[in-house]
Amino acid sequence: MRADRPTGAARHRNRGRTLAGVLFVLPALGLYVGFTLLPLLAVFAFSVVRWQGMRPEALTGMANYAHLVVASLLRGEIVNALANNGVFFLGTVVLQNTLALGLALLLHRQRLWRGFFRAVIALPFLINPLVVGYVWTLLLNPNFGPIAAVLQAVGAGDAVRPWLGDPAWARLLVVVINAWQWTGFPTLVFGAALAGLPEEIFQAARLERANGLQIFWHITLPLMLPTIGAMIVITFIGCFNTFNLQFAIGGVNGAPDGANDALGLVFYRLAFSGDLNAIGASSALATLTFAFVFAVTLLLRSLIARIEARVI
Amino acid sequence: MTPLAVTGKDAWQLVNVFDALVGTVYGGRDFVTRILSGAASFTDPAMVRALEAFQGYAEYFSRFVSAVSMADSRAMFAAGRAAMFPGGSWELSGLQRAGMDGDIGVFSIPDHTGGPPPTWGYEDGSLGVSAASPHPKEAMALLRWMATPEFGQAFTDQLKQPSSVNGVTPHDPVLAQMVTNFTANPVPMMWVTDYFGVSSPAPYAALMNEVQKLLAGATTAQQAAAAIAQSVVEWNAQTR
Repeated sequence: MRADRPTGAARHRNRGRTLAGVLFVLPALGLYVGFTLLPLLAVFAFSVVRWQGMRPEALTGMANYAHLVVASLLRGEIVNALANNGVFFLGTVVLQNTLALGLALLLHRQRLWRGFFRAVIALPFLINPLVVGYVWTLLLNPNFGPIAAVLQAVGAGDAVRPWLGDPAWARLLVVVINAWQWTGFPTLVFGAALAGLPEEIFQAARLERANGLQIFWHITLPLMLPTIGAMIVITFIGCFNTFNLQFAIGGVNGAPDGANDALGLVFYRLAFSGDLNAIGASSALATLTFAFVFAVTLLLRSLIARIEARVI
Repeated sequence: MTPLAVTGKDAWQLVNVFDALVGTVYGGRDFVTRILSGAASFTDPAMVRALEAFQGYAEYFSRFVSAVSMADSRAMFAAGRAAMFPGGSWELSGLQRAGMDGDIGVFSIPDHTGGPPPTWGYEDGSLGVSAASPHPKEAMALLRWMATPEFGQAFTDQLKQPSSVNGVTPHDPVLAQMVTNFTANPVPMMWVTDYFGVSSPAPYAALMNEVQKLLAGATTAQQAAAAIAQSVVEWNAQTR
């Protein structure tokens, strides 16, 4: 069978549409290339060079990468930071997303003052994480802070701890503080996803006398899986690129005792250390971090897609 | 009243506190000279004793010292909630602005062997002109003016910092005492000078982290000394 060939006028129209499409895409593409792709390639190029301050000295291949692994103190810092990023991610996924799903379900049923509650829950994520970190540092100060003062006033002074100065507490609290700030975002996303679920399925389930828990477990949760999966991926990327909160709470070394150290802080220390090859070493770490986050993101997406295919 | 207002959280300051409190235990200038010539190591008993002595000082620090930031320790001292504050000349101006003008004195920790008390110091920031400067004449004129007694005196009077210009006399009595102490028995702070550099794996970074761990009870003096010695090995491997 002969395919219909477009007439001259149709071809002209198609070319016009293509040109318009290219023109519309160009500004965004230019920004993407200029501010994402080129810096990424530049960082990789910097990472295979030995630097003498700001001056590139010689191509060194993988020497900067090897340095990250061979220098035992630095390797220890990177491994510790990677583990902290992992704990931070797992804690955040569990606490923040569970809380957000619960709040989204409550708000979905709640008609009265829904907008007000949404705004209140979303408010903390409009604040700079540095400010959030410093404010919580003051709140949790065991000597001057209001939380310690309240505990002492009610006779529970023994419960006061050097919260952000104790490695175990600090690791836990950074997750809690992060969740306090960011829960509003997944709450809004989950809320929008809940509003988009087809009402007929729920009506049918209620006609079949399914209870609330059954409806949630067998209908709501499976239908929400794509959104939850996307949220997990976003959380992963955010948690492995974190810097501000840990910097505000634990300073440049991720105090106490490296409990708040993160890959972003190790990068910062390498990049602004004053070492002559700071650019090379820090670029190598930045490239490795990017490669790791990129690879795990792909793996997570594939894993989540498989789970979705099995459940939905 | 807390005897010593010290931060356990901002590790960089712990390096200064370490030298101020237990520098004489590891041997001061003599130890610095022997470290630089390779005749001493950070795992030597003197260094371990200094780290143990620092741990011993912890009972005079404030409650929950590991959660006390530099700003907290400064505020405790300025508010009269701590008797002493181990710090450097750079703190003077801030403490006076916080209302402590006339209320503070300064002393160097006595040498436990009975020698003259050492004062630890280092050149924090130097000025130069880039060879690539498009205005070398103007830059040199500015630099020359900054080396005059006029600038040095204004620098010392306004910023409450010792000037490296000859002939400048601090008018502030506390700063004058600091300069007198330093001139009597100066010891270079090996951690923050460029003997080893200051970034990881330098001993500076190792000491701050290890001392913080000591305060948190997460390491021993022997382990801390070994980690500092390891930082020298890695620093040498990286720079040679």
